[in-house]
Order: sequence, then structure tokens, then C-alpha cells
Amino acid sequence: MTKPSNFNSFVDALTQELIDMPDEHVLDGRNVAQLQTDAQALLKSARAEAGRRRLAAAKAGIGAVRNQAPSSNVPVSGVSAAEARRFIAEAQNDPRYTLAARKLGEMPDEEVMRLYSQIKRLEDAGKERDE
Amino acid sequence: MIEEPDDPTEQDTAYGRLPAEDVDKEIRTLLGSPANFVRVQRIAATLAAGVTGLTGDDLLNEAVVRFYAGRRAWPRGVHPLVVFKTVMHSLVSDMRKRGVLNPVDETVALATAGADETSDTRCQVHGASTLTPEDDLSGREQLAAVYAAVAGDEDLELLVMVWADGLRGDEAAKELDWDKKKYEAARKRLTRRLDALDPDRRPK
Repeated sequence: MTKPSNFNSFVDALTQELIDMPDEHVLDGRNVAQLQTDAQALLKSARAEAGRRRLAAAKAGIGAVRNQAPSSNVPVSGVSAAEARRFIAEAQNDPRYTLAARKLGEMPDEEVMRLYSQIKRLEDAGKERDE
Repeated sequence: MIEEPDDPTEQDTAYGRLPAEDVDKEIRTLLGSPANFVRVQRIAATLAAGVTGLTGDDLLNEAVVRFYAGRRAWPRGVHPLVVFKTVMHSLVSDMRKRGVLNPVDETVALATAGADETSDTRCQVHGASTLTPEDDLSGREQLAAVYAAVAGDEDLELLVMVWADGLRGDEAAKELDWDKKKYEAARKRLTRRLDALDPDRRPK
């Protein structure tokens, strides 16, 4: 037998084969009622955990705004994390800013808000200098 | 291969990603089907294979949490199982890169270095990973875990091999010189064996 080659290819093939397989082959020997119970339990606990994480991120975002310097006039509180992400994504292509090579999607919301606030302050400072 | 929609901002256009209410519907539909629940569990168990401390259920749960928390985009027009596969693959990959799951394991050699002459006299230990980026990319450990799950059944070992070579369906059957009936029977056996990759569903 040849050496194991590529796990990614295996998972891709497995996924497609599972999609192609009839339900009765997939379910053979499994307790359908138990599966339904397990699936609903997963859904419930995952939704609850997602809610807790969103709340924690929102609280952290509010804390970050409170901790800003009083001189800041950046309207962070009116900006959602999604809007801040879009803004930072655009700023990454702006030669005025050098951003650390991080995946924006992996950043917690609070860090996104902090970064957004910093960039906006830099922008505002630049405008004041130009005026 | 479908690339991971890793960064929600890249998908964050009116056309690229589903809104939250549609993501909720997709997840409820997927999990509401017992067959699809088994399918996604098997994909999760396979992706978590060979990763110390991670079960397929943990991985699946984390993916669902990320979708509901808005941390992962759900691309339009992609099969839900493929969406879950790519997101779970990305989660495992990130966990491995950060070394969260395997701070010390068989791929890490603990090397002791001589103590600094001037200060700390205790032995210093440095982790030296023997896992190369190429190994990580190819998922050598994970594939080894899949082979271990089917060990002793030559047909299943061959099927794993051809899928890992990128062949599937008629092409894989032809490569193995199997008829459709034999191929489908082996496929059914193989996918059931993958349940054993998850410690929670391992036959007692």
C-alpha cells in the first residue's frame, strides 16, 4: 500500500460521499429518536453559548469605549463590530496604516473596536494637522 | 477543494454570506435531519481524529457556536455539510497552529538545556516540535488515526487510500476494480467505522 497521502482530500471525498449516500445507509443501526434528542440538545447549548459570547463581547466593547481618553471624539459607541471590521478591512489596503498581519475574522469584537478607535483617532489627528 | 471562508469580512457582502436568520434556518434544517446530523458528526469525528483532547462533538458544537455568535460566515450556494466541513477544518487548523490542543505530545521532543551559569540553576526545558509545516498541512496524524480505525479490513484501508489520493465515486471504484455494489457496501462500512474515531461513540 502507498503511504498516506492527503488528509484534506480524504475529508473532501468523505463529505461528498456522505452527501451522495442514501439516508438509510447513513442511519443504519442508529437510534433516530436519540439522534433527534442529541441534535436538539446541541442546538440549545450552542445557541446559549453563542449568546454568552456575544454578551461578553458587547460588555468588553462598552468597557473599551469607557476607557478611551476623554479627548477622543470618535463615535465608537454608534458603530457595530461588523461595521468596524469592514472599516479595518478597508484600512488594511490604505498605505497610511501598517496593520499587524492578523486575520480580522479571528479577532475578538473588543479588539476590533479598540483597533477601529485607534485608526479613527489617527485619521482625525491627520485631518486636524491638514487643517 | 473549497476554501475556508475564514474571515467573515471577506464574505461580508450582501451576496457572499447569508444573514443571521437564514443561517439559523440552515442550521436548524441540517440538525433537524437525523441522517444529516450523523453525516456532520462523522465529518467532525474525522477532522478531530488525531488531535489530542478534541472530540468530534466538541468541534461540531464550536462550529455551531461560531455561526450563531456571528464569528463565521455562511457562504451562499454551498451545501450545508460542505460549509460545516470547511469551518470545522479551519477551527482544527487554527487550534493546531496555536498549539492549544497539543502543548506536549508525541510530536514534541522535550530537550533539556544546561542551566545558565549566572542565575537559575534549574534545568530548562524547551519544546522542540518535530511536526513540520508539511506534515501539518497534509494532516499526517489525522490520516494515521483514520487508518487505525479501519485497521484489519483491507478493503476499507484501500478505500481510505484512494479517497486520500483525491479519487471518489465511480473513479475510485474503477481504481479499486470494484463493482458499484461492492463500492457502496465498503463506503457504508467505512463511514460507520468513522464513528469509532469519536471517543464518545466508540463501541464499548
